[in-house]
Amino acid sequence: MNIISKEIGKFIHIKIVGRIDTSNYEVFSDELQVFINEGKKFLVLDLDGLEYISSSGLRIFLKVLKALRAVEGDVVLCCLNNKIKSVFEISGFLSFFNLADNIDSIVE
Amino acid sequence: MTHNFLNIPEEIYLLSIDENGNQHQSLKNENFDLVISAALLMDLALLHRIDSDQTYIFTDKTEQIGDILLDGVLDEIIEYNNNRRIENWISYLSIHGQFFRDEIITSLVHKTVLKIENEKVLWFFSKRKYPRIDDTELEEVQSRIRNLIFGNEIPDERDIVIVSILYNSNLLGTVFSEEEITKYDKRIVQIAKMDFIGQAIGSVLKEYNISIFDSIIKSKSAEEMLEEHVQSLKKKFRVTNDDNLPAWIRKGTKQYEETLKYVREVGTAEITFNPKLKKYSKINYGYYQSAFGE
Repeated sequence: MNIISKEIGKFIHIKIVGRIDTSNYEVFSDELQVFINEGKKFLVLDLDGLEYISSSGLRIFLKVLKALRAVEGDVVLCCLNNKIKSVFEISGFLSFFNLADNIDSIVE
Repeated sequence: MTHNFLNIPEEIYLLSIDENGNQHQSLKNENFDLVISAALLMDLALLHRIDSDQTYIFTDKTEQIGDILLDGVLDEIIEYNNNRRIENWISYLSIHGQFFRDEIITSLVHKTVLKIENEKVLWFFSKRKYPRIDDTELEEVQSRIRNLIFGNEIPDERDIVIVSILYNSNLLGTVFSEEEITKYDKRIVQIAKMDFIGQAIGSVLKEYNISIFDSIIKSKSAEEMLEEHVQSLKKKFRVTNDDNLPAWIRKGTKQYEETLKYVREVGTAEITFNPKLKKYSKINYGYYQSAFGE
């Protein structure tokens, strides 16, 4: 898994590439926690390059969303590929998030 | 708070019993074994000992937890050392159902949530019951789940698991009224599907109950059972000519029709007929020996 982040206005655009599974969900959690600890309230998680996500990975998405909504922030899921969108749909997680087709539509 | 005080299987057990300690009808025996097996897997997932996707369960951390049930299941998963479908793990673990049940009750008694009551039945039989000491823990779980469903908060992972189990094992009625289930259906379904192991419970229970239904449907008819029984009797008593059979098991007689009716009623052909009393009863090979002249 690779994480590439970029600050765009009030948003942190975080591109996630590869797999989030048993071997690395904690690393993923820690990386997102850094932004929360820095006081960043708006994360855009770009999932175009995400190939696989396990339950542990999904739970981190929810944990981060909960933490940020509690401080009037938000997590936006952007650019979901069909495979990952299907996992989020089947698991019911999709309905809790705001979605965007591309990063420009959020920043504008 | 029951958080961290009771584990998931214990919370589910508490929700599944009435004030006398009797289990909810839909959760008796094998159904409960399947549900509790799934609950153990879900608890292990919350404790980061296993992970899953839509299909498989994987090992995560291997450190023991200090809970006899959870550690036992974890050991089995580690030992298997391979990917196994969620449904297969639930079914496989359910063979330990009685052990799970006994350990959950023992633990709840130890945690002073349940008490032991000895009840006399018919003056001389003793029956042991495990009712709740009070409703504190039960009410805590119920109110937590009710608040979650009635509100629009993002659920925490533990409550997702409970809602998923309740929904997929038809136990919502232990927390909600019929009206509430209808009114909040969308929210309940939304949260219930947030756990892949929870989702699997529904399909395992459905499959299990269909297989029971199939075995009932595919079971032998009264005619087949009686025919099989007559053939075994003919063999046993070396009867080669059907005319030598007593009327009640000889096809074409009025009494044979009565016999079929009785077999249908009792669900077995292991019966006999007393021609003097004109009464059917349990099998008595002594009667056959005299009837066949042996």
